[in-house]
Amino acid sequence: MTLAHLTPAPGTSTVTVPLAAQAAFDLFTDQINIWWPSVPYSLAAASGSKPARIVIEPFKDGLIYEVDAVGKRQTWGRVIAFDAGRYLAFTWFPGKPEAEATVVAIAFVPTADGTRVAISHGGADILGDLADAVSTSRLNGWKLVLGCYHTCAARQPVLT
Amino acid sequence: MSYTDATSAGQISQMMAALSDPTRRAIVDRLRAGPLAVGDLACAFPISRPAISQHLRVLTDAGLLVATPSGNRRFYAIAPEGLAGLRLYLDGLWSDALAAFAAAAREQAKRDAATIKGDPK
Repeated sequence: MTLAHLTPAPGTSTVTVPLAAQAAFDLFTDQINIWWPSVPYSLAAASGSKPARIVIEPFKDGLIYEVDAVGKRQTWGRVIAFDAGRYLAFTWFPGKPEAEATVVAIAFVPTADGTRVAISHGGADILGDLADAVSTSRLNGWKLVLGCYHTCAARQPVLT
Repeated sequence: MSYTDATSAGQISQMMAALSDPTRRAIVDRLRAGPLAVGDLACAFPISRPAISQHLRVLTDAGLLVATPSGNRRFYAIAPEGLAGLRLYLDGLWSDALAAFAAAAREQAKRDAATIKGDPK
């Protein structure tokens, strides 16, 4: 593992898709079951199974969860902002206490030939102005911890 | 890699748990400027030295810090590999998810195009 794996912009992934912004947003949220890689990215996958479905409740404070074959829910996160066709943000804590949540923010920006979808993850700092609307006291530390990683790694090759 | 990857999930969880405490995050932040001994850290925080030592132990056990003896003191420094592991875990998950999403979006665009072409109206 080297620092090269972490560059450039750590914590951001971008892709451009050939859909209008609203369609891209709907595919991401309402139709998440079409594309989400439930294996390996689900709690059911740990026991060799996969969830019956995944739900993103389409409103602020809505839950994101997986449902297993017998209807049992397991929470993945909580919606911070649901701005249809434009912006989605949520806390993320699958299989963990909410206190250990990170934050994910996804912007849908129209381009000439589709929509650019940019995902940021990290601490509450990625929310910008929205951060004030969230209870972020527990999340602020992620800014220090992840955002400033390069600085600390570059400065301290450990005492020897 | 998954939410519960056998080789890494335990450690990722342990790191997240360690960092869920504000004092421990502040300690990590403090160490960004360079390694410090326990005594130096104790001066910087309004808590007892044993409490600082306890926090340092949790952070070290989680793989976020490394301790290096120097004379009769122990210096604590950020463990780059520890944070890199955490970062890569999150990067991996969202890169994979985004790639799967993009593939589905391209499929949908193809279907939409076929529908328009095939529609006699």
